[in-house]
This record gives sequence, structure tokens and C-alpha cells, in this order.
Amino acid sequence: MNGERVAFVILCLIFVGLPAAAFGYQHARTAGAGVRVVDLEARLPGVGGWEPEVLRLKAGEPVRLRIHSPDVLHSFAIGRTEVGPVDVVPGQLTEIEFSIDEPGTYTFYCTRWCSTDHWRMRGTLEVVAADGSIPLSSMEPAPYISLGIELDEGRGQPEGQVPAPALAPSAARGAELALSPPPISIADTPAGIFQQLRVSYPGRSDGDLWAVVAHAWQQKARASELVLGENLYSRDCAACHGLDGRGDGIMARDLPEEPRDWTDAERLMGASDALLHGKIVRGGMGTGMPGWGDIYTDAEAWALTDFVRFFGFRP
Amino acid sequence: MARAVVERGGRRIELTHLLWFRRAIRGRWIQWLVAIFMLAGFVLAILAGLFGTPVGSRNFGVIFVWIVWWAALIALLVPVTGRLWCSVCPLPLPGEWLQRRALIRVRPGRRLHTLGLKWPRTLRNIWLQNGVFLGVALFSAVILTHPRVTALVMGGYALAAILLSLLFERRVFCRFVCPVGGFIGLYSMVAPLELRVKNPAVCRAHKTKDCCTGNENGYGCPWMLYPGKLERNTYCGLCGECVRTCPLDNVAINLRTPGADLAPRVGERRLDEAYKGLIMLTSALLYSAVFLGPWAGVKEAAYNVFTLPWLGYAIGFLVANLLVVPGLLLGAVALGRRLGRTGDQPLRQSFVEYAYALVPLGLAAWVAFSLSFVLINLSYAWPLLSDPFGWGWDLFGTATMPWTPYFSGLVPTLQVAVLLAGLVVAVNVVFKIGSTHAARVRAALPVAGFCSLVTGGFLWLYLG
Amino acid sequence: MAPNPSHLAFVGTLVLALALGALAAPAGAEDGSDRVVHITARSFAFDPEIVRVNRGDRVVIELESVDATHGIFLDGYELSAKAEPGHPAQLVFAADKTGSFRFRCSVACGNLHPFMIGQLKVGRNLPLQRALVALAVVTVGAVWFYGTRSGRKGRAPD
Repeated sequence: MNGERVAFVILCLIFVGLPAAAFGYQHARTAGAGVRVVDLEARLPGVGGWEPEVLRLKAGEPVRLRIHSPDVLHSFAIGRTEVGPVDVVPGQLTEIEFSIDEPGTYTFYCTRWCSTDHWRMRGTLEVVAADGSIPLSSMEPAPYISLGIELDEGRGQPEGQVPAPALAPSAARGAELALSPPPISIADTPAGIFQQLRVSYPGRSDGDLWAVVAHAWQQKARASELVLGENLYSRDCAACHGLDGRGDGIMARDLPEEPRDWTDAERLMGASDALLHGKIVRGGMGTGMPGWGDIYTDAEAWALTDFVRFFGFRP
Repeated sequence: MARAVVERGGRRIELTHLLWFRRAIRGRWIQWLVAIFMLAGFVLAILAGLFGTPVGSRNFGVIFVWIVWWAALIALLVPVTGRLWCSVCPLPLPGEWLQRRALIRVRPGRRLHTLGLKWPRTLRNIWLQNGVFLGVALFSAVILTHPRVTALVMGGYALAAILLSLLFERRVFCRFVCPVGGFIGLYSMVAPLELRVKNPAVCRAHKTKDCCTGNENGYGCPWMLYPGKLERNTYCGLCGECVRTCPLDNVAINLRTPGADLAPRVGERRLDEAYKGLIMLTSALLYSAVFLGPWAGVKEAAYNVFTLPWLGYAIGFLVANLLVVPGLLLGAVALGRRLGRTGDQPLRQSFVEYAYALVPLGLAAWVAFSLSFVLINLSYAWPLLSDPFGWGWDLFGTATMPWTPYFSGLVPTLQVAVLLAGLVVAVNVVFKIGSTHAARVRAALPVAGFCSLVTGGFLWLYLG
Repeated sequence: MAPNPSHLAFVGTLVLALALGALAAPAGAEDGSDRVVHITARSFAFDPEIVRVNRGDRVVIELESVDATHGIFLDGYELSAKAEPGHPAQLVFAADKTGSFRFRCSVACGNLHPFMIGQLKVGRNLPLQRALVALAVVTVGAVWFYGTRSGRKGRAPD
């Protein structure tokens, strides 16, 4: 073989072999994955968000998502499931493999604050049953609906003329007092329980009675739930509501309505757990507060409710 | 001419005297294989740019063109080897192969397959290269950061090279169009490597001039030069064809005193080259301010092309390059003429001659500029060896290596050293120029001051 | 005519004296105090762009991102941190090196990310002052060396 032929072969390797090898290797990786491979682009919500916005799988079918971000750090998770979150580092392909057995409609979302519109970065995952149907969500309606609580009315004003606690009441102090508060339901407000206690223990100071209220709520919440609630709060809420609940988070500046200051006792004490929970799962229509009902499991939503409650109480 | 030959003195070590070196040059394969390796990298860079991730720091095209290649070129290859890159540059290869209808063999007596048009006389200079460089520079914030744009610009250069080789004779693209070639040529005057004939008299007596026409051992000079009259590195691409073709073994590749070409009256002194030196120096200054400075507004103006702020940036960039800095140099030269009471040559000629002192200064500035972004960003390269497209590959296990700036505390010290070294050489050149036509050495002082001032500007940008 | 050697010697001595003054370490450490510096990060800018502290300060840089996740890497000190909106990050360090130090975004945040740069200036900028003194010394030295040399050469043919 003469030199010119050798040169020609080398040249073919570069102009044909190199591209063929690159695309072929990528194709082989996809085809040889053994599972269905789906590409998902994670863009800033202002320039497209998830692409595609709707994913469709068969129930129980394992799938590998290959997620790519062209701009900033995002993250991927599927609401009300164990899938994710995984970080999506710009320019680095993130692969996640999973299967979902329960047919239905799910929401996948970004868990990393990526712009003021971060919470808009949600997509729909349809898990199709064996018979080809996609059952409607089997979620039970949130309790605020059956209780008839109007989320947008009154904005959680205290019931009647209740003197709000000056300082956040201490649950520990309430425990020491060893009084017996009435049983608490999710429709009760701290202010309501306080009034009942006032009737039962007329001789006690307001401070003591608020401490008992705090203790009563602490009895209700488990420590592990408070930790879960804190993690969710830190991840999803703190950017607007502020790490300490004052409503002064960095993202609050662009909201149509300023978030509530939860350290303001007068407001929080007038709100029942069902109302707080309802606001979390439904969102605040028009205020910029997103709804989390499609994302949190029941346990998560209640854990977050309990955590938020403790902006008004001390342990 | 005789005088130039006399002034070509100085110590030289002839590399082609070494048998293995001469063999390596004369055989075509080593050079060809290196060039082919570069071509493979080029093809990969274009593919990655077009089809890989649009995130620049994760794309082989952006990182290997603008960080790895650029740094290797400006901080190592040019200062040490001059135009050696041009001898292995992949861009002109396809066009050259089409012209020769040969990949590596030599076919004596065959004409090149090209329309063979003559490059227009008005463009037989590097003004076009100056213009293309400035034009590209206005968009650099986008080109440097977008893999697609990088790929399109690189691909555009490659297409232009092919097209021009079909229309015009030899390497017209390299010689008169390539914006990179323009400054490599200018700065190659500093390099300690040169290609020259051993004895010009031998060339003058030689009738067939195989170095221009080619013979069974090689092609005629693709750069349209006559090696017999070669006095400086500027337009010699070190391709080695004349080493191969010379039947009298009169062509040598030498190690020599760095910067020998800058000695006054070595070869011609031209306004287009003078401006190349000014443009390169000014753009190094502006790039340092824009890309390494803390002023986000300027970066955004440079990035948002075709907006009003960008227009302001573009006008400012051009005015600084074409008027302000040249104006300052002109002022310094004029002041020097007054101080030295010399009026024996036109001001324009003095301006052109003194501008060559900016060659070592500008090269040092580019090395200093490159040092900072290369040491800070080189670690982006390692994951790309494993995953050039950002497709989730991990060929060599380096895909997840994190971004780690190297020697971030040492960078400013290195920059000071490089800049001051450049200044010393520049002052040396300034006085060599001054001593050729001024009775009083103080005629050169203002230009030396200008060089010192510019160096101070760089120091302030890097350390201030 | 070459520049007057005694003249140059005088200038040289002066410059050298200045150089020695500037190159000497500053007398005593400046009194350090606690400094909290709040920096916001957005694509592709830090605000403020330039931060000044004194040498010896115990510095807390609080980095707050306002759009997406950003990071900070401080040249010279080689410290880094990451901040997501809602979760400010802190860099705590003693500002014991003087001079100007670039800090840059360390989390990919878009096309201009590699050029998202700010500056921390610690105390008197000794490195710059030293460099400028070195510049003066090198300039005078080079002018003297090459000037007198070419002066001699220039006169020779006459």
C-alpha cells in the first residue's frame, strides 16, 4: 500500500470514522441501555421550562430519564413519589432510572431555585394503566374543603377579641404547668383553644394559658415530622417566606403580594391547621404562592403545616 | 538588501544540521501526522460545537479551542517556535489537498488545481487580517461562550480557506485573510526559531529556483515567498517545503537570538504591521478589562450583541484600537522627534518603525492575559476528554472531575514577571530603532515611556 | 548624546530608595475588626462588584443568590462556597494577605459564567505598589542600560 492510500484511509477515519464513532457510541448507549430512554431538557421557566412538558409511561415500566440543563442548576423530582430529587448540573447529563407502579397523573418539578419563576417549572407525568387508561387522581379532597373553611376570607384573623401572646409561647413552660387542654382537631385555632382554656382556668395568666396552647400543639406534632417539615420549608418555602418565617425572603421582592409574617402571632394564632394545610396544598390564588398538593404526600403536607405552626411557638 | 544581510549577524545554531532533524523535516510524514491529529481535534471541536451541549464550559469545542489551543498557541508555541503552528494547522489542509490533488505525495510538474487568480494588489498586506480580527473581536463575548457560534466561526474559516484555495493561488487564505495568522506572523519575529537560507549568494546564482516552482521532493513555497530573500519570520509558515526542494541544501532551520527580526532595518517596515501591533496590544488591554475586570455592565454590553450598549462597546473598542492608542504612540514619537531634534524622515515612517517595539510588549501582554484565564479554567478540560459532547460519557474516568483553579494566588506574580520581561525587550527595541536615525538617544525616551505606561496599565488591571 | 550618567544615577538611587520604602512590610498589623460583607449574586454579576476590607479583619462574606444557584471562589485565599436563593452561604476567613483578589462564580450559571468576576481588596495594595516600583526600576534600568549602549554605538560612526 503506498503512502497516498495510507493517508487517504487516515483521512476517512477522521471525516467519516470520527463522527460515526461518536454518534454510533451514543446510539449504542441508548439502544443498549435495556430500558426505555427518554431525554428531558430542563430550561429556565422563562425560556421554556421542561421540554417535553408531558411525559407518558406505562405502569411498572422502567424508564431512564436523561436530563440536561443548558443554563443554571436545576433539579428533578416527581411529586408524591420517592423519585428524586436529583441535581441537574448545567451541561452534564443527569441520568435517573425509575418505574412507577400506580397508574395516574403525577407532577414532576424542579427543587432548586432557578429564578423567580422557579415554581412554575413543573411538568406532567402520565402513568398509563395496562388497559390504556389514565385514572384520575385518587387523592382525597383536602380537609379545608369538607370543613367549609374559606381560605381567602378573613386571612386568618383571630376569633373574637383574644390578646395575642407578646412573646412566642414556650411549649416547655406549658408542659410544666400540667393543665389539661381540650382535645385539638385540625379545625381548631390556637386562639379558640386559648379562649376555652380561659373559661376552664379563670385564675391563670394569659402567658400561662398560651404556654399550655403551645404545649398542646407540640404534643400533636412528632419531632421527626418537624424535621421533615423543616427540610421541606428550607427547600421550597424559605426563598420567599424567609428562613425564619418573616416573609422577607429574597424572592419575595417580585411577588404580587408580600408573604405573611408568621412571627406575627395575631395572625398565626387565628389560623387552624386545616387552613394552613389548605393554603399549602391549594396555594394562594393570585398571591404568587404556588400550590403543593400535587407535590407533597399527605405526610409531607402535614409535617410542613406543623413546622410552620412552630414559627408562633417555642419548643 | 546587502545591508540587511550583513545585519543578519548574531549567533545561530542550525537545527537542520542535525541529521535526524533534517530527516524529520524532509520526510513528510511527521508533520503530516501532527497536522492530521490537529485536524481530528478540529473535526471533534466542530462536531461538539454543533451537536454537543450548549453549555460552553462543558463543550469540547469551546474549551479546547479557546482555552487549551489558544493558551498553547499564544503562551507557548508563538513565543518559542514562532509560526510553527501554521505548519500543522488543520484549516488550510483540505484546500491544499484539493489544489494538489494529493494528500501527501508530490507530483512534480503538475500545476495546482485552482483557478490560480492573483490576489488583488490592494489586499497584498495584512489590513484584511486586521479588519477580520477586529470584526471577530467585537463578537468575542458571544463566540467564546457559545459552542454553536464557535463551531460556525471555525467552520466558516475552514470553508473560506477551501473556497479561496479553489479560486486563488496557493495559501492566499493563510497569508492574507486568516486573522490568527496575522498576529502569529507579527509575534513570530520574537521567536528564537527561524527558517533562512544559509548563503543568499547560492540562491542568487541558482537558476531553477526549485523552492518557488517545486520539484520531485516538494512543492513550491505555498506562502508565495522566495526563501532566498527571507529576512524575517513574519510570513514564513515553516512548512518546510523549501527545505525539501532545495537541491543545493541551502535552506536551514535555526535557533537564533530571540527577537532578532525586530532589529531595525531587518526587512521592510509597514503601516499594516504597525497597526497589527497596536491592535493586538490594545485588544489585550481591553480584553483584560472586559473579561477579567469586575465590571459586569461592560461584560453585558459586550455580550448583548446588536443592542445599543453593545454598539457603544463596539464603537469604543474600535476607537481605542484604531485612534486612541495609535494616537498616543504617534504623540510619543512626535515628542521624541522634537527632543532628538531629528526631522530627517517623515513622521509616518518614525511612527511605523517605533510601533515594532510594541511587538514584544503585546506578546507579553497576551501571555499575561492568557495565564490568568488558562490557569483558572484549565480544569474544565479534563472532564471533556471523557465526555466531549456533554452526552454523559465517561471514556477515561475523568468526566466528573470538578472545576479547580490552579495557582490562583500565583497568577498575578507570573503576570508581573512576564509583563516586565516584555517591557525590557521593548525598551531594547526602542533604543535600537532610535539609534538608527537619531543623533540623540533621548529621541527614543517618549516611546520607552509609552511602553512603560502601557505596562503600568496592565499591572493596574491585573493587580489593582 | 547619551543621557547624562550622573543624572540617571541620581534618578536610579531615588527610585531605589522609594522602592525599598514600598517593598518593606507595613509597620505592624493593621487592627483587625469583624467585618460582615453582604454580596448578592445574579447571572452574571456580584453586587457590590468591589469589596474592601482591612488587613487583619476577620471577614464574613455572606453570599446571597437572587436568581439561581451561584457560588464564589476567592483567588489567592482559595476558598469557595455555594448559595441557592433562600440559602445564603458564608465564607469566613482572616484577611491576612494584602492586595486585590478576584472572586468568581463557581457554579455554572449560563454563558457568561466564566466571566462572572468581582474583586476583594485587602488593605493597602502592596502587590500592586511593589509591581509599580518594579516597573519604575525596570524602566529606568532598561532605559539606562540600552540608552547608554545605543548612545555609544550611535556616536561611534561619526
